[in-house]
Amino acid sequence: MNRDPALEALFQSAEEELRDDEFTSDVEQRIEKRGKRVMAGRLAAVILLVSLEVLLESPLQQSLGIAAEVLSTALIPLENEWLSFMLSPLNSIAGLVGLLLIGTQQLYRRIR
Amino acid sequence: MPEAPAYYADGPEALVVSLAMRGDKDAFSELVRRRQVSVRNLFRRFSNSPELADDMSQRVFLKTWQKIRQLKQPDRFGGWLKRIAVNEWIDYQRKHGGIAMTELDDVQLRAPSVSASEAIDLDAALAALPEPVRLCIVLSYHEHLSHGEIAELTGMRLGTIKSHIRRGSELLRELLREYGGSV
Repeated sequence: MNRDPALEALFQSAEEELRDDEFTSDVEQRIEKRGKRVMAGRLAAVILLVSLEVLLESPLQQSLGIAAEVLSTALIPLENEWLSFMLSPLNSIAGLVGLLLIGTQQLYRRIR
Repeated sequence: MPEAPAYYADGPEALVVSLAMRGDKDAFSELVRRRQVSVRNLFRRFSNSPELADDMSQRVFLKTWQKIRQLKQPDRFGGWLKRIAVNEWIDYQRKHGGIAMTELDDVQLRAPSVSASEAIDLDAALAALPEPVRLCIVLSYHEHLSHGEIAELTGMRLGTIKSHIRRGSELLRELLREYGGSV
Protein backbone atom coordinates (compact mmCIF):
# COMPACT_ATOMS: atom_id res chain seq x y z
CA MET A 1 0.00 0.00 0.00
CA ASN A 2 1.45 3.37 -1.02
CA ARG A 3 0.95 6.01 1.61
CA ASP A 4 2.10 9.59 1.11
CA PRO A 5 5.19 9.92 3.38
CA ALA A 6 4.52 13.62 4.05
CA LEU A 7 0.96 12.93 5.17
CA GLU A 8 2.16 9.98 7.19
CA ALA A 9 4.64 12.24 9.00
CA LEU A 10 1.90 14.80 9.58
CA PHE A 11 -0.37 12.18 11.16
CA GLN A 12 2.54 11.03 13.27
CA SER A 13 3.23 14.54 14.56
CA ALA A 14 -0.48 15.16 15.22
CA GLU A 15 -0.53 12.28 17.68
CA GLU A 16 -0.86 13.94 21.08
CA GLU A 17 0.40 12.44 24.32
CA LEU A 18 -2.91 13.08 26.07
CA ARG A 19 -2.75 13.09 29.87
CA ASP A 20 -5.08 10.77 31.68
CA ASP A 21 -6.22 13.36 34.26
CA GLU A 22 -9.90 12.63 34.82
CA PHE A 23 -10.45 10.38 31.82
CA THR A 24 -10.10 6.97 33.48
CA SER A 25 -12.08 8.02 36.56
CA ASP A 26 -14.84 9.38 34.26
CA VAL A 27 -15.00 5.99 32.53
CA GLU A 28 -15.15 4.29 35.94
CA GLN A 29 -18.01 6.56 37.00
CA ARG A 30 -19.94 5.77 33.83
CA ILE A 31 -19.47 2.05 34.47
CA GLU A 32 -20.68 2.47 38.08
CA LYS A 33 -23.74 4.44 36.96
CA ARG A 34 -24.57 1.91 34.29
CA GLY A 35 -24.19 -0.94 36.82
CA LYS A 36 -26.57 0.79 39.22
CA ARG A 37 -29.12 1.36 36.43
CA VAL A 38 -28.98 -2.32 35.46
CA MET A 39 -29.43 -3.40 39.09
CA ALA A 40 -32.38 -1.03 39.51
CA GLY A 41 -33.95 -2.43 36.33
CA ARG A 42 -33.55 -6.02 37.53
CA LEU A 43 -34.98 -5.15 40.94
CA ALA A 44 -38.00 -3.48 39.30
CA ALA A 45 -38.54 -6.57 37.12
CA VAL A 46 -38.42 -8.89 40.16
CA ILE A 47 -40.89 -6.67 42.08
CA LEU A 48 -43.21 -6.62 39.07
CA LEU A 49 -43.09 -10.41 38.68
CA VAL A 50 -43.72 -11.02 42.38
CA SER A 51 -46.60 -8.52 42.39
CA LEU A 52 -48.17 -10.17 39.35
CA GLU A 53 -47.76 -13.57 40.93
CA VAL A 54 -49.50 -12.40 44.12
CA LEU A 55 -52.28 -10.65 42.20
CA LEU A 56 -52.92 -13.39 39.68
CA GLU A 57 -52.29 -16.47 41.81
CA SER A 58 -55.94 -17.15 42.62
CA PRO A 59 -57.50 -16.44 39.16
CA LEU A 60 -54.67 -18.40 37.52
CA GLN A 61 -55.26 -21.46 39.69
CA GLN A 62 -59.01 -21.26 39.02
CA SER A 63 -58.46 -21.05 35.27
CA LEU A 64 -56.09 -24.03 35.33
CA GLY A 65 -58.64 -26.05 37.34
CA ILE A 66 -61.44 -25.29 34.88
CA ALA A 67 -59.19 -26.08 31.89
CA ALA A 68 -58.18 -29.44 33.43
CA GLU A 69 -61.82 -30.30 34.10
CA VAL A 70 -62.95 -29.41 30.57
CA LEU A 71 -60.07 -31.21 28.87
CA SER A 72 -60.63 -34.43 30.80
CA THR A 73 -64.33 -34.57 29.90
CA ALA A 74 -65.10 -37.88 28.13
CA LEU A 75 -66.40 -37.66 24.56
CA ILE A 76 -68.35 -40.93 24.89
CA PRO A 77 -69.45 -41.73 28.45
CA LEU A 78 -68.41 -45.28 29.44
CA GLU A 79 -69.87 -47.26 32.33
CA ASN A 80 -66.75 -49.31 33.09
CA GLU A 81 -64.35 -47.22 35.19
CA TRP A 82 -61.21 -49.09 34.13
CA LEU A 83 -62.09 -48.97 30.44
CA SER A 84 -62.91 -45.27 30.79
CA PHE A 85 -59.52 -44.67 32.47
CA MET A 86 -57.59 -46.68 29.85
CA LEU A 87 -59.24 -44.88 26.93
CA SER A 88 -59.18 -41.43 28.48
CA PRO A 89 -56.13 -40.23 26.41
CA LEU A 90 -58.26 -40.69 23.29
CA ASN A 91 -61.79 -40.49 24.66
CA SER A 92 -61.52 -36.93 25.97
CA ILE A 93 -61.51 -33.32 24.74
CA ALA A 94 -57.75 -33.20 25.42
CA GLY A 95 -57.30 -36.26 23.15
CA LEU A 96 -59.38 -34.63 20.46
CA VAL A 97 -57.39 -31.40 20.72
CA GLY A 98 -54.15 -33.39 20.56
CA LEU A 99 -55.29 -35.29 17.45
CA LEU A 100 -56.38 -32.06 15.80
CA LEU A 101 -52.97 -30.50 16.51
CA ILE A 102 -51.12 -33.52 15.08
CA GLY A 103 -53.39 -33.48 11.99
CA THR A 104 -52.84 -29.76 11.45
CA GLN A 105 -49.08 -30.21 11.77
CA GLN A 106 -49.08 -33.06 9.21
CA LEU A 107 -51.22 -30.99 6.83
CA TYR A 108 -48.94 -27.99 7.24
CA ARG A 109 -45.88 -30.16 6.45
CA ARG A 110 -47.50 -31.52 3.29
CA ILE A 111 -48.54 -28.08 2.07
CA ARG A 112 -45.07 -26.67 2.78
CA MET B 1 -13.60 2.96 42.50
CA PRO B 2 -10.25 2.42 44.27
CA GLU B 3 -6.90 2.88 42.55
CA ALA B 4 -5.82 -0.20 40.57
CA PRO B 5 -3.13 -2.31 42.26
CA ALA B 6 0.31 -1.09 41.22
CA TYR B 7 1.37 -4.49 39.82
CA TYR B 8 -1.36 -4.29 37.17
CA ALA B 9 0.61 -1.53 35.50
CA ASP B 10 3.53 -3.91 34.87
CA GLY B 11 1.47 -6.95 33.87
CA PRO B 12 1.33 -8.17 30.27
CA GLU B 13 -1.80 -6.90 28.54
CA ALA B 14 -3.24 -10.35 27.80
CA LEU B 15 -3.15 -11.12 31.53
CA VAL B 16 -4.80 -7.83 32.48
CA VAL B 17 -7.46 -8.45 29.79
CA SER B 18 -8.09 -11.95 31.19
CA LEU B 19 -8.62 -10.47 34.66
CA ALA B 20 -10.99 -7.83 33.25
CA MET B 21 -12.92 -10.59 31.46
CA ARG B 22 -13.50 -12.17 34.88
CA GLY B 23 -15.09 -8.93 36.09
CA ASP B 24 -12.03 -7.30 37.70
CA LYS B 25 -12.81 -3.57 37.46
CA ASP B 26 -9.31 -2.54 38.53
CA ALA B 27 -7.84 -4.54 35.66
CA PHE B 28 -10.24 -2.85 33.28
CA SER B 29 -9.24 0.58 34.60
CA GLU B 30 -5.64 -0.35 33.85
CA LEU B 31 -6.65 -1.19 30.27
CA VAL B 32 -8.39 2.19 29.96
CA ARG B 33 -5.23 3.91 31.22
CA ARG B 34 -3.10 2.05 28.66
CA ARG B 35 -5.39 2.54 25.66
CA GLN B 36 -6.96 5.93 26.30
CA VAL B 37 -4.36 7.90 24.32
CA SER B 38 -4.79 5.92 21.10
CA VAL B 39 -8.60 5.83 21.30
CA ARG B 40 -8.89 9.55 22.11
CA ASN B 41 -6.46 10.47 19.32
CA LEU B 42 -8.43 8.33 16.86
CA PHE B 43 -11.65 10.18 17.72
CA ARG B 44 -9.89 13.54 17.54
CA ARG B 45 -8.90 12.75 13.96
CA PHE B 46 -12.46 11.61 13.21
CA SER B 47 -14.30 14.48 14.86
CA ASN B 48 -12.04 17.56 15.07
CA SER B 49 -13.54 18.14 18.53
CA PRO B 50 -11.67 17.20 21.72
CA GLU B 51 -14.92 17.22 23.73
CA LEU B 52 -16.78 14.94 21.35
CA ALA B 53 -13.66 12.77 21.01
CA ASP B 54 -13.48 12.25 24.78
CA ASP B 55 -17.20 11.56 25.07
CA MET B 56 -17.05 9.01 22.24
CA SER B 57 -13.95 7.41 23.79
CA GLN B 58 -15.72 7.01 27.13
CA ARG B 59 -18.71 5.45 25.39
CA VAL B 60 -16.36 3.03 23.66
CA PHE B 61 -14.76 1.96 26.94
CA LEU B 62 -18.18 1.55 28.55
CA LYS B 63 -19.28 -0.67 25.67
CA THR B 64 -15.99 -2.56 25.87
CA TRP B 65 -16.62 -3.28 29.57
CA GLN B 66 -20.13 -4.51 28.80
CA LYS B 67 -18.88 -6.83 26.04
CA ILE B 68 -15.49 -7.91 27.34
CA ARG B 69 -16.70 -11.39 28.28
CA GLN B 70 -17.46 -12.00 24.60
CA LEU B 71 -13.78 -11.53 23.65
CA LYS B 72 -12.39 -14.91 22.65
CA GLN B 73 -8.66 -14.21 22.62
CA PRO B 74 -7.30 -11.80 25.25
CA ASP B 75 -4.20 -11.10 23.12
CA ARG B 76 -6.44 -9.60 20.41
CA PHE B 77 -7.83 -6.94 22.71
CA GLY B 78 -6.26 -4.02 20.79
CA GLY B 79 -7.85 -4.90 17.44
CA TRP B 80 -11.14 -5.71 19.10
CA LEU B 81 -11.19 -2.33 20.86
CA LYS B 82 -10.39 -0.59 17.57
CA ARG B 83 -13.31 -2.36 15.91
CA ILE B 84 -15.68 -1.21 18.66
CA ALA B 85 -14.37 2.36 18.31
CA VAL B 86 -14.83 2.45 14.52
CA ASN B 87 -18.31 0.91 14.73
CA GLU B 88 -19.26 3.43 17.40
CA TRP B 89 -18.13 6.28 15.15
CA ILE B 90 -20.01 4.88 12.13
CA ASP B 91 -23.15 4.49 14.27
CA TYR B 92 -22.75 8.03 15.56
CA GLN B 93 -22.41 9.36 12.03
CA ARG B 94 -25.45 7.40 10.86
CA LYS B 95 -27.52 8.91 13.67
CA HIS B 96 -26.17 12.45 13.57
CA GLY B 97 -24.58 13.07 10.23
CA GLY B 98 -26.08 10.53 7.88
CA ILE B 99 -22.95 8.68 6.80
CA ALA B 100 -23.29 7.17 3.35
CA MET B 101 -20.65 4.84 1.97
CA THR B 102 -20.74 6.46 -1.44
CA GLU B 103 -18.05 6.72 -4.08
CA LEU B 104 -15.92 9.83 -3.80
CA ASP B 105 -17.19 11.13 -7.12
CA ASP B 106 -20.66 11.32 -5.66
CA VAL B 107 -19.74 13.39 -2.64
CA GLN B 108 -18.88 17.04 -2.53
CA LEU B 109 -15.97 18.57 -0.68
CA ARG B 110 -17.19 20.81 2.13
CA ALA B 111 -15.69 24.28 2.48
CA PRO B 112 -13.48 24.37 5.59
CA SER B 113 -14.79 26.55 8.38
CA VAL B 114 -11.57 28.55 8.75
CA SER B 115 -10.59 31.69 6.90
CA ALA B 116 -7.96 31.50 4.18
CA SER B 117 -5.45 33.47 6.20
CA GLU B 118 -5.69 31.08 9.13
CA ALA B 119 -3.30 28.20 9.34
CA ILE B 120 -5.30 25.02 9.09
CA ASP B 121 -4.24 22.04 11.15
CA LEU B 122 -4.62 18.41 10.26
CA ASP B 123 -7.88 17.87 12.16
CA ALA B 124 -9.52 20.89 10.54
CA ALA B 125 -8.38 19.72 7.10
CA LEU B 126 -9.75 16.24 7.84
CA ALA B 127 -13.05 17.79 8.92
CA ALA B 128 -13.37 19.32 5.46
CA LEU B 129 -13.32 15.87 3.85
CA PRO B 130 -16.57 13.98 3.25
CA GLU B 131 -17.22 11.54 6.09
CA PRO B 132 -16.52 8.22 4.30
CA VAL B 133 -13.32 9.65 2.83
CA ARG B 134 -12.14 10.89 6.23
CA LEU B 135 -12.93 7.51 7.74
CA CYS B 136 -10.74 5.72 5.18
CA ILE B 137 -7.91 8.27 5.42
CA VAL B 138 -7.80 8.13 9.24
CA LEU B 139 -7.89 4.35 9.32
CA SER B 140 -5.12 4.19 6.75
CA TYR B 141 -2.77 6.95 7.99
CA HIS B 142 -3.56 7.01 11.69
CA GLU B 143 -4.25 3.35 12.35
CA HIS B 144 -2.03 2.00 9.54
CA LEU B 145 -4.70 -0.44 8.43
CA SER B 146 -4.54 -2.13 5.03
CA HIS B 147 -7.30 -1.69 2.46
CA GLY B 148 -8.57 -5.17 3.28
CA GLU B 149 -8.72 -4.41 7.00
CA ILE B 150 -10.59 -1.16 6.33
CA ALA B 151 -13.04 -3.04 4.13
CA GLU B 152 -13.61 -5.59 6.87
CA LEU B 153 -14.13 -2.88 9.50
CA THR B 154 -16.37 -0.52 7.53
CA GLY B 155 -18.15 -2.85 5.12
CA MET B 156 -17.08 -0.66 2.17
CA ARG B 157 -15.93 -2.18 -1.09
CA LEU B 158 -12.17 -2.39 -1.76
CA GLY B 159 -12.43 -0.25 -4.90
CA THR B 160 -14.29 2.45 -2.99
CA ILE B 161 -11.68 2.44 -0.24
CA LYS B 162 -8.79 2.75 -2.70
CA SER B 163 -10.57 5.60 -4.45
CA HIS B 164 -11.36 7.34 -1.13
CA ILE B 165 -7.75 7.12 0.04
CA ARG B 166 -6.24 8.24 -3.26
CA ARG B 167 -8.57 11.21 -3.77
CA GLY B 168 -8.68 11.98 -0.05
CA SER B 169 -4.88 12.24 0.11
CA GLU B 170 -4.92 14.62 -2.85
CA LEU B 171 -7.62 16.76 -1.27
CA LEU B 172 -5.84 16.78 2.06
CA ARG B 173 -2.58 17.91 0.43
CA GLU B 174 -4.43 20.65 -1.45
CA LEU B 175 -6.20 21.86 1.67
CA LEU B 176 -3.07 21.89 3.77
CA ARG B 177 -1.07 23.66 1.05
CA GLU B 178 -3.82 26.17 0.40
CA TYR B 179 -4.07 27.11 4.04
CA GLY B 180 -0.36 27.27 4.68
CA GLY B 181 0.23 23.78 5.94
CA SER B 182 3.50 21.92 5.71
CA VAL B 183 2.46 19.33 3.10
